[in-house]
Amino acid sequence: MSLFARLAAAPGGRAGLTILGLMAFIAFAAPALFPGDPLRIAGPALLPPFSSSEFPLGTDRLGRDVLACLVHGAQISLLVGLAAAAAAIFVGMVVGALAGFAGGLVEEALMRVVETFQIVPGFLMALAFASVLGASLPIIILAIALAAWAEPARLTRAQVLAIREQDYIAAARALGMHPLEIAFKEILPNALAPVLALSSVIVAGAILTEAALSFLGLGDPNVVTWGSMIAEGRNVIRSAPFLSILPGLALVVTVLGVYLFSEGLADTLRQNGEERP
Amino acid sequence: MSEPLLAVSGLTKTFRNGGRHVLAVDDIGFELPAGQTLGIVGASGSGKSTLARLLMRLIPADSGSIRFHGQDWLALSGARLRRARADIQMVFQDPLSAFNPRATVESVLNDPLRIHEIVGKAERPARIGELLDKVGLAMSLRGRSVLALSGGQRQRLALARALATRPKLLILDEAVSALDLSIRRQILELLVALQREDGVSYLFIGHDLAVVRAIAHRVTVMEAGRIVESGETEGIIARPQTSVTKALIAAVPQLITGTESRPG
Amino acid sequence: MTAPLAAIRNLSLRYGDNPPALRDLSFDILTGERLAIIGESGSGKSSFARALAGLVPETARLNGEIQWPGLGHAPLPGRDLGMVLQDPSTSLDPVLTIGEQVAESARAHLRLSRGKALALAENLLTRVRLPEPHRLMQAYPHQLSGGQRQRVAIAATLASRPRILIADEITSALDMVTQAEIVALLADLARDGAMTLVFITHDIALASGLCQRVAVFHEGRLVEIGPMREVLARPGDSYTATLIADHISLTGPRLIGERR
Repeated sequence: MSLFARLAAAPGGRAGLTILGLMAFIAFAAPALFPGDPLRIAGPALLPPFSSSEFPLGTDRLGRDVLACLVHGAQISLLVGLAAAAAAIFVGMVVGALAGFAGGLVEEALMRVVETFQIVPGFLMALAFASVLGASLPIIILAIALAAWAEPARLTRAQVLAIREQDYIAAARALGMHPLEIAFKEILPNALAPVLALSSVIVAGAILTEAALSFLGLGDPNVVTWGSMIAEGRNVIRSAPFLSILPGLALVVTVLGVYLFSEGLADTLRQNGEERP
Repeated sequence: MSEPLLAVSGLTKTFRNGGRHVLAVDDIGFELPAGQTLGIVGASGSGKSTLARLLMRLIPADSGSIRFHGQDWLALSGARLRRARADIQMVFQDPLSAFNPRATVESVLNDPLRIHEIVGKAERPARIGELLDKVGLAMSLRGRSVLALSGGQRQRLALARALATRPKLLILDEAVSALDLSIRRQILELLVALQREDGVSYLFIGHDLAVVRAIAHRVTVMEAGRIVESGETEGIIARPQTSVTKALIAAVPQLITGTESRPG
Repeated sequence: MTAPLAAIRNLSLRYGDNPPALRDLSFDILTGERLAIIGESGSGKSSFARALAGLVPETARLNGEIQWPGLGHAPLPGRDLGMVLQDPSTSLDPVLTIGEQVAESARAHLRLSRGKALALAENLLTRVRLPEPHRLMQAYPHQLSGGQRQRVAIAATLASRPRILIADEITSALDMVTQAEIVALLADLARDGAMTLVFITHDIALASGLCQRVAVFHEGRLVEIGPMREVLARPGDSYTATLIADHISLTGPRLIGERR
């Protein structure tokens, strides 16, 4: 069975794939579903949800279509979440692998850098970066990635160190395999599995961090994100709580989807390492 | 043949563990003629495995010389060393960790054939089939993951992998110690048969003197990194000179049926 | 005739959908005897050890029964029954000193005070013939060799004076000389018959020097059981005969021809 099929067979994996697939579809289809700028004033203000067929989820203080904002917000949230996580994992894996292979002073130096980034609380670091460098999507992605890359680096290095001691690496050397081939074919693929399982958690964290930054007003003001929607709704939370609750729910469902997906992935990868039929 | 296949002299290796120095291999020297088996016995910690790794150049030696197949083995490096590795291969003790968990039987045997260009890409499947046949593995196992094999099957696969490059010397580091007794006997018989067919030399490292006696022409006894006794197998067992050897002989359990007797 | 210590009747064990690990086992374990259980991988010998010790996971299906007429009740693990396992590197807790680990058993089962338990622990280390027991009390498992760790594991089980000791392949990961020493130690400990020994191994020769009776397992079944010398001299089953033939001795024929 292919990896995908096995993932779909695992209970968590199936639910996770479904949720994430739906989110991804919505995010992609946003411009088609709701053409035009979601932040434009579309109708009367503070229309409650489920009261009008034109605005199924109501409108906010300025008369903007909540559903349109929600759908477009999915785009940003997923984009930022995935991009930041990908950057963090890539950089982390490269640094971790370098440290694990090089050893000696190089390893020591790299690990001190990793530790420095680990000590600082992730969100605060992202916050500091965003507020100093300004609010734009690339800066947000950079800030989140900087906060998240240390863990994958640590994990990759630990894996590389452990695998290097295994007999099959000695066997590969004994066979006369080129060191680069050993690194890329024998060590890294086996080192990556746990890091990949971690990646889903990083994506979830990135999505939440982006929402938090937007909530605090440090996000890009030209785009709508779930975080900014929650911030907007804060002002009328007593009279129109749905404005904050709906994007909050969207966050919950997305993060849940990511976690279920990562559970399924971890299960599947673990089976990969055990007996196959 | 005048020059022995393998001639080792003055081989020494010290490990630094924190502040302590451990002399793992101390001034080891011996010879192995082509087509013969040399057994290396000793208790745990005697330095046998370190010796194996030194010979395979998996760890660097502190001093000493190794002449292998007419060359200064320790002087080779880089690509020349990698190519020369085809002549000397190793089978490890633990069948579980000897293979990449993501490998299949086919990929394990493909690697040495590819790396040393033993045959062209088109001929490799056929050669893999021959290797499987040589070690007594069924063809149906080709596509299987190594994780699905039993311990005995894995050691056969390890043997096939080691033989793929047609090595002159095979180092067997406790290669049968982790196997069931019936499988152990089968693997030993296979090794002897392969030696008769192909003239491969073996360096057989073990802690069971009876097993070593079964397949080794000569035996070397190690203790604390040094060679304490060395000679023809039957002679060493019949007339042991050192307490180490005597202890190894005494440690071999006998089947108490009342019909067996101790040698010497 | 005294009652057996344990009576196994129609014991069967199955893990999930796998083929049965144990099939319809029936035999007795006699009080004070040294019984060898011989089998290869997959024979069910380790599953049997766990069933005897009551360590079978809940998800497994266990049928048949194990009665304990010699005890009158099911054995309390750690108290009436001691078990030592194969891998010396994982049998001891790496963060506790040797003294603490051996004393732990005494404190738990005999309710001794800390001081008395530690004194007993040092006594036991001497009994299992460990050198410098006083110094070893403060040592950690990683400072000991495999053979020494197995001795500590044995000492820990002895604290409660168990009626039965199960040794599951305890020598398989050790070299020959250490194996022989551990077997000699077990012979000494079980000599007076106060403790029944069940010695599980794949090495029939090793067991032959230690045990009086032997049970041969094959694919979950009991193939043969009887006095050691008799079974070895006249095996009743062809599988037993094969096991005996597979043994490589110092005096039997070699696999290579003599020197040319």
